Amino acid sequence: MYEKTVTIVAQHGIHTRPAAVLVKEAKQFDCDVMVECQGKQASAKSLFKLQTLGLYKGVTVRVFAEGASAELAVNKIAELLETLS
Amino acid sequence: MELKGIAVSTGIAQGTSVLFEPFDNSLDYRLLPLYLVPGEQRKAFDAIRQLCTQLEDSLAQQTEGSDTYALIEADLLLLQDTELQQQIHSSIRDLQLSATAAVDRVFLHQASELAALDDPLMAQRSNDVVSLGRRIINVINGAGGKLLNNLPDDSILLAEDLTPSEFAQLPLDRIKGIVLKTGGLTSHTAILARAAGIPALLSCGFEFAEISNGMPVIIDAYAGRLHINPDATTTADLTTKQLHNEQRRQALSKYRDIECSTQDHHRIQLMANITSLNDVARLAQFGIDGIGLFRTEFLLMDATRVPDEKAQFTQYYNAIHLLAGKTITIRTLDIGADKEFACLPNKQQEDNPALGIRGIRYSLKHKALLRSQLRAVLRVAEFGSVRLMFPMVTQAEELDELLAEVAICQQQLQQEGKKFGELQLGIVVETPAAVLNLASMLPKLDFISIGSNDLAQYTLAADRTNLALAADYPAFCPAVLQLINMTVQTAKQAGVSCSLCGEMASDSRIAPILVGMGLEELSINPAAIPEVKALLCEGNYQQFCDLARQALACKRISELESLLVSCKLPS
Repeated sequence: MYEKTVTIVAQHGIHTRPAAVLVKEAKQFDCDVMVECQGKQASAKSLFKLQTLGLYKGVTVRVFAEGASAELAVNKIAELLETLS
Repeated sequence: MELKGIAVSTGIAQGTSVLFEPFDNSLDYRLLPLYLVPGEQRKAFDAIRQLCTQLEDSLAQQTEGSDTYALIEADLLLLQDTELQQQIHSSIRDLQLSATAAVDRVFLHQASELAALDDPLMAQRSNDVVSLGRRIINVINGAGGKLLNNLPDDSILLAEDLTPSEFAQLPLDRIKGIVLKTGGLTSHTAILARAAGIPALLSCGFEFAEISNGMPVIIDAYAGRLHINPDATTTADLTTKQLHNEQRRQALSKYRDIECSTQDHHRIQLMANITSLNDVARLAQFGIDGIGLFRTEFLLMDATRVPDEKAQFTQYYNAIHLLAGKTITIRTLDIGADKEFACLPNKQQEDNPALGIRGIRYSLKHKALLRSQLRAVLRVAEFGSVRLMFPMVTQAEELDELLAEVAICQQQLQQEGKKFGELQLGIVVETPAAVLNLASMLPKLDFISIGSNDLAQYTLAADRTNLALAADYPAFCPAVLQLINMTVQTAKQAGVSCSLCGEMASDSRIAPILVGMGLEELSINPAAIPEVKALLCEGNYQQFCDLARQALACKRISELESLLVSCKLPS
C-alpha cells in the first residue's frame, strides 16, 4: 500500500467543482484511490461519497491506494488536493 | 381563450404548446413484493440513464468552463457514480422499497449528510442534491424527462416558473416563446428571455388543467396577451402583424454591417448591454460598436462559489477575444437591491434594499471580492480596449476610495511581476446625488454612463419592481429628462464622454431624443439594436436636436407621450 498525507489549503475547501476535477482524474487510474478525512473514508472516484467528507481548508487528509499504479495515483490525487481551489 | 401577462420582450410567437408541468414527485411507499425487485431496480437505472443522456445533451450546448457547465457536469458525475447506484439498488432489494422511494431515501440521506457539514456552501449544494433526486423520481413517474428532447420546432413553453439554470438548458432554436405563471419584469429569467430575443409573458394566469400539450397558441408580446386555441380572425390578424414585423426585421438587416450614423453624418456609438459570454457570441448578428454594459454580477448567478480572479479573467478574456478589437465596458459587481446570490454570504436583511448596501457600497465592504475583480479587469486590459465602471457612486469620497483600490491592485500586480493594461475608468450615474456631484468627480474620470432605470427609480422614489407604480411613474418623464440633460451638459463641459445604458435607450422612439440631447453613445438590449439602429441611421441629427428641445420643454408626462406619438420618424 502506498499512502501520503496532505493538508487542504484551498480557501473554500474542496467543493463541488474541484471535487469533480478530482473524480475525473481518479477515474483515469485502474486502482481505487481512497481519501480519508476526519474519520471518514471515500473513494476518490465517487463524488457522491467525497462530498460528505468535509474537505475544508486546514484539514489533514490521508490518501492511499493498493496495486500497480498506486504510487502514481496517490501522488496525483494528493497533488490535486493540495493545489485545487 | 385570451389571457393577460406582463410582456418582457417584444414580438409575436405562434406555435404549439409544450407544458413544463409541475414535477410529479409522488413516492410509492408500498412494501415491494420480492419478485418485483429486479423490475424496480431496472426502472431506477433506466431513469438515471435517461437523465444522464439529457444532461449530456445540455452540456454540449454550454461553454466549457462556465458555471452552468460545471453544475451540469457535477450532476452527471453524481448520476454516474457507482456508489450511488449501488445504494439505490440495495435499498430496493434489502428494504423492499419502490424505485421512487429508494431514490428518495438515498438522496435525502446524502443531502442531510451535506447539510450537517458546517459549511454554508455545502448546505446550498445539499438543496441541489435533493432537486437532482426529484428529477430522477420525476422521470421514473414518467412525468417529464422527455421535455427538453424531441420538442417540436415551434414550441411555446408554458411553465409555473423557470430558474435561470433551467432557462440556460433550453434548446432555444426550437422554442419560439415562453409563458410563465410567476415572475416580474426584472426577474433574472425575464432579463435572459429579453437578451435572447424571445417573446415572453410573465405573471400570466393560465391553468395547467385547461391546457394540454400540442395546442395552438400565440404570444402577442406587443399587447401582453396569450391566445390559447385562437379563432381564425385572431390568428389571421396576428399573422399579418407578425409578417409585417418579420418584413421590418428583414428590412432592418441591411443596417447590420454599416456604421451607426445619421443621414447628416452624425456618428453614434451603438453598444450592447450583456449579462454573459453567450450574449457576446450572439452579438455578431446585430452590428454593434462594442459592449456598453457587462453586468458582471450575473456571473455569480447559479455559481456554487464566487468566481475567483482567474475565473473572472477567463470570462473577460473570452469576451474580448470574441469582440475582436471592439470596446468592452465592465461594470463591477452590482450586488444588492433585487439581486441576491446564493454563493455570497447572506446579506443582512435590510428594510429598504434598494436604498441599502448595494453596488459599490457592497464592494467597498468586501474588498477582497472587489480586488479580485479589479485585478482580473486590469490584467485583461492588456489584451483589448477595456473600460471599467462602478455602479451606485454618489459622491466624491466613494470615488476616491475606489480609485485608491485600483491603484493598490496595480501596485500588487507590479510587485508580483504580472502584466496589466491601461483602463478607462468611469461611473454609472444613477442617482440624483451623482448628477449633482458630477462636476467634482469628472476630473478623475474618462467616461460616465447614465443608468436610466435606477436614475428614474431614485428620482421618482418609485420602486422599479413594483408593478402597481409602473404606469404612473414612467422613466421617460420630465424630471428624469432634466437630470439626463444636466448630466450630458456637465460631462460635455468637462470633456468627458457620456453614454446611457438603461432600458429607455432601447425604445426606438426615445433613442433619437437622447441622441438629440447630446448623447454620443447608447448602450441597449441586443434585441432592440436593429430597430434603434435603423431609426438613427434613417434620421437627421438636426431633426433629433429639435425633438430633444421639444422634449425638454415638456412639463407633463402626457405632453411627452403626445410628442412620441406625433413625431413620426421615417420608417
